[in-house]
Amino acid sequence: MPKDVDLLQGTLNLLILKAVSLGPLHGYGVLLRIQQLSADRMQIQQGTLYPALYRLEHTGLLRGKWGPSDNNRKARFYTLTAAGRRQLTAEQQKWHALADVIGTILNTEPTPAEDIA
Amino acid sequence: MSLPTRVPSRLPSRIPRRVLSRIQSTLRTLFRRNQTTIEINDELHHHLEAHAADLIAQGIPPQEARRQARLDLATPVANHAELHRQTAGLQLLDETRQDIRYGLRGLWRNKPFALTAILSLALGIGAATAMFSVVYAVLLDIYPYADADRTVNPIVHDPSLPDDWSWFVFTPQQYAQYKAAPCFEDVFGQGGMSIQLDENDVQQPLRVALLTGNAAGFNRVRPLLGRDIQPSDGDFGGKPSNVVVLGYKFWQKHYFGDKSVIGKDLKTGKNLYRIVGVMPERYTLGGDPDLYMPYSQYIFPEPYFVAFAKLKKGVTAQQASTFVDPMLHDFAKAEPRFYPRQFHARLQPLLEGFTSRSKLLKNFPLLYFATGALLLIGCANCSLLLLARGTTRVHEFALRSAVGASRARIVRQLLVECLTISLLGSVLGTGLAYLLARLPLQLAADLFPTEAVIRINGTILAFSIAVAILAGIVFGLLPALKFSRPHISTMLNSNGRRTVAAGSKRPLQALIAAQIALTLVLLTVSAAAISGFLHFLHMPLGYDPTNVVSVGAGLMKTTVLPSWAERAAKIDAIQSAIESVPGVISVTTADDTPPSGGGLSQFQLVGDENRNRDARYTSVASNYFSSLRIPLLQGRVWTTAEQNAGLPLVVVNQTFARRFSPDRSIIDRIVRLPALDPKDKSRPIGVTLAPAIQNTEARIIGVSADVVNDGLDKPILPNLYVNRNAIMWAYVPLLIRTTGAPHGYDLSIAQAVNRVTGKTFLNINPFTLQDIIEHQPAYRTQRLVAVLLSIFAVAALALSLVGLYSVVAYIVAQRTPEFGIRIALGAQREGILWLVLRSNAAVLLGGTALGILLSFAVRARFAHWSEYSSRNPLTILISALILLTAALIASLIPAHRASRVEPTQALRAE
Repeated sequence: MPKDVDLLQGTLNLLILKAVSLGPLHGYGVLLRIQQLSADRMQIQQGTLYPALYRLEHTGLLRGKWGPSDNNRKARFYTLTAAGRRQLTAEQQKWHALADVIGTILNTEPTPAEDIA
Repeated sequence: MSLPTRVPSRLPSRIPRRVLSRIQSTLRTLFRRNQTTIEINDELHHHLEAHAADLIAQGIPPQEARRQARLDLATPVANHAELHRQTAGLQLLDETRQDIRYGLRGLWRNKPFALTAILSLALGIGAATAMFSVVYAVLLDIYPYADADRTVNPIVHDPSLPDDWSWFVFTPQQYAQYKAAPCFEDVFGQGGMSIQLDENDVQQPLRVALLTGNAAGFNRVRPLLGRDIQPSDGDFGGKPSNVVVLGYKFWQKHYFGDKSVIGKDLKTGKNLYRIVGVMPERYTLGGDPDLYMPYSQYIFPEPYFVAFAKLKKGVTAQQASTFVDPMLHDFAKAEPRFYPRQFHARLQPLLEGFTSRSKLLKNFPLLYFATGALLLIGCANCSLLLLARGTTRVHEFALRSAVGASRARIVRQLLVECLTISLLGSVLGTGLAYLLARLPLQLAADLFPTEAVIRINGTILAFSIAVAILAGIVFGLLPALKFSRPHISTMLNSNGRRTVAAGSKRPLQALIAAQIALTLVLLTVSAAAISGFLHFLHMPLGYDPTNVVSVGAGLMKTTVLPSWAERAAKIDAIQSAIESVPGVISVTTADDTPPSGGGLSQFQLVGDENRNRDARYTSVASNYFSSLRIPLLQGRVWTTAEQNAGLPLVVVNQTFARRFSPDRSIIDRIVRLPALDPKDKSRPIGVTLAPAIQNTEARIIGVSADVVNDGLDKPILPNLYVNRNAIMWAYVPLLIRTTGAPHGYDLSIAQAVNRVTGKTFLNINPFTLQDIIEHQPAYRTQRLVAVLLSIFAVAALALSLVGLYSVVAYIVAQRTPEFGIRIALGAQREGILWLVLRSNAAVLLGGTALGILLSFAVRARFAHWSEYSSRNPLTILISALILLTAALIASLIPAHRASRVEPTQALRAE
C-alpha cells in the first residue's frame, strides 16, 4: 500500500467536518486528527487548511471559539454547527453513493468474448 | 456532544440561517478588522508552535523545527488575513481601496493635470447650476406669499398702447363691490402714503404701505419679529391704532437689525407709533416700503385702495377677467380720472407684475445656451485631459495586464480616478455656483422683484454633477477599454517609444474641434452682447444728463389747495432760490425726464382735423431746453412773461414736425389738446388750468432737436412740450444741474428753499439723470447679459486653451524621441516647430469653421434672444481671429519646447 493518498478535489471540506464532528479541535488538531484517522496515509497541505476552515466558518458550518489547549495555551477550537452536521450527513451519503457506483464500475470483470457473440 | 446552534432566534426566520451567518461573518470581518487580524495571527502562531513542538519531540533542533513549521504552513502568516477577508467577500472592497489610494497618488503626482481637470468641471458645473438657479428663482419661485400663483391684480390696457398697462385704485365703495365678486376667495387692500420721520434731529421721508386687516391672513408670511398688522388694528374708518411694522430693509438700515426694537416708539412730526413687528427680507408688498401700518392710519380724507385678489381654486385669471371687465367699466364711469378714456381691463397674475421680466425672459434662452455650452466645454476639457493621459498610459496598462491584472481591474482603477476628479470638481463647482448665483442680483438688483432671493436649486445641481460624472467616466474609460484588449504584446513590443496609433487620436481631435467650435460661438455671442451694451453707452441721447439731479417740490402746504397764481409764484420762488445756491448751474422743471417723457396724449392738428394724433405730452419750464442742452432748431421758446401768464404755447420735437407737418412749416400751427379743455371734468384734484386758457387750442412756436423719450431701446416718439404754467399741478419735479456730482448739494438746496418759501415739502430724489439711464430695464438687462456672457466666454476660452495646450504637450512628449532623431539627422528647429503646429492645424481650422457656421446659426436666433445685441457679422470674424491667435499661442508653447529638444537627451528618453 502506498504511504500517501492524494486528496481528491473537494474532499478536504468533508474530512474537516468529519474530524470536527468527533469533538472540538483547533486548526493543528484537525490536521493531526485527519492524519491519525487515515492511519498516517494522508498528509493535508497546511497551506490549504486554514482557507478551508475560514470558508467553513464563513458559511456557518463550523464555529470557532477561543479556549485553552492541551499545553494550557489559548487556541481557537472549532465545533460543528447544526448546519454543519446536516451538511456532513448529506456529504457522507453522497460520498458513499459515489464510491459505490465507482466501485461497482471498477469491479466489473471483463465478460468472456463468446458470451457476447 | 452539544450542538452549537447559537444563531439568535429573534432574528427574522425568513432569512436562511446560512445566509445569516455569512452576513454576520462578513460584517464582523468588515467592522472588526484589527480584531480579526489579531485573532488570525494568534491562531496561526499557536499552530506553528504546536507543530514545531511536535517536530522538536521528533528530535529536530528547535531552530530548524520552527523553520520547518513555517515551511509546512506554505502560505506566510501575513497573507492569511487577506485570505480570510477574501473568504468573507471583502476582496472587492479591499481592491477598491487600493485603487483609490493608487489613483489619488497618481493624481497627486500629476498635479497640473488633476487641477485643470477638476477646475474645468467645477467651472462648468458652477456656471450651469448658478444660471439655471437664477432662472428658477426669477421664473418660478419669486414670491413668499401664500398662493402667489392665484393672486391677481386688476390692470387696464389702453388699446392705443398695447405694451403699456397700468394699475389703478378703488374708492372704498368700489373696493367693497370688487371684494364681493364671486370669483375671488379673498381680497385685501393696500394704500400708500409718506410720513416724515422726526427723531434725534433726523428728518427723513418714509414710505408707508397701509394694509387692510385681512392682509396677514391673505399672505400668511410669518413676521421675522413680533407680529404683523392684524384686523384688530383697524381697517379704514376704524379707530386708529398707532402701531407700525417695519420693513426688513428699513429695520436693517435704520435700526441696524436691532432685535430689541419691538415695543419701541417711532416719532414723526406729530405722531408717535409703537413698533410691534418686523417683516422678513422677502416680504416687500407695496414696492418694498419702509413701514407697514393698518388702514386706520390713513391720513387723507379720500382713501384709495390697490386691491390684491386671490382667485378661487379652479378659476383662471382669464375667466375672472371677463367677469371683472364690465365692473371696472362701471367704475370708470363714476371715477373717470383713474382710467384711460378707452381701455379693457384684465386680471394680471402677480408673476407678470414686474415689468422687466419679459426683457429678462427674452434673454434667458441665450444664457441657457451659453451655460449649457460652458458645461459642455468643461466636461469636454476634462474628457480631453483624461483621454490624453489615458493614451500615454497604454504602456502602463499593458504592463499591468501582462503581470496578471484583469481588464476589469484596470477599468476599475481608471474609474476610481475619474470619479475622484469628478467628485472633487463637483464639490468645487457647487461652491462656485453659490458665488455665481449672487452675481445677477448684485449687478442688476432692480431687474428682479424685491421678493426674489436666488437659491441654488438642488435638482439642477444634481443634474450638472451627473453630467460631469458621466462625461468623466465615458472619456476616462475610453482608453482603458481600448487598450485593455489583448494586444498587449504589441503594446509591450513598441517598447519605450509609446507611440500612439493614429486611430486613437481621433476622439481627442474630435473633442478639441468641438471645444473650439463651442468656444467660438460663446465668444461671438458675448462680443455681440458687449457691442450691444456699448451702443447704449455711446448712443446719442439728444440731451446732456451729466450732473443733473431731480428734486420734487410740493406746492400744497395743507389739504387746502392754493390757487393757480399762488402755486405759479411759489414754484418761481423755489426755482430762483435754488439758482442762488453756489455751484448750481441751472434749474428747470419738467413733469417727466428723458429717457421717458410724460404720458401719451391725443390731440388734433388744426388743418388736419379728421385724424386724431398721439404724442408725448411734457409740461416744461421755458429754460428746459437750454438747461438740458437740447438745441432749438426753429422758432423760439415762450418767454418768462408768457410762462407767467400761462399762455397755451407749445414747442414740438423734430419727429413731431417731420411726421405731422412734412410739407409746410409747423411753426404757428395750432394743436387742440384735450388736457386744456376748461370743461373737462375728469381732471385730477389739485390740477388747475391757467385763467388765460379759454379753449383747447395751443400754438406751436418752436421745434427742438429730438431727445430719447420712449426708453433707450425704442424709436423717438413725437413730443409736445407745453408751457408749464398752462396747467398747474400740486407737485413739480425740478431738474437741477450742478458743477460736479449733485449729491453734495442736497442740504444747501433744502436750506435755500426753506429760507425763501418757509417749510416746503422737498423730495430729494437720490437719482440723477445719469442714474435714471442706468436703471432703464433695457440698459440693465443688456449690461447683465453682457457681463454674464463675457464671464462665460472668458472661462470657455481659458478652458479651451488649457485643453489645447495639454493635448499638444502630450503629443509632443510622445514624439520627443522622434524629434530627437529628426534633429540628429539634420532637421531644422523651425521644421520641428512647423511639424507640431501642422499636426494641429486641421483640427483648429475645422473647429473654427464649425464654430463660424454655428455662430451664424445662433445669430439667426439672436433677433428673438437678445434684442439689443449687435448683429454685425464682423463680430464673428473678429472673435474667430482672436480664438485662432490664442489657440496658436497655446500650441506654440509646447511646440517651441519640442523644437528645443537636444537629440542626445531625446534619444536617451527612449
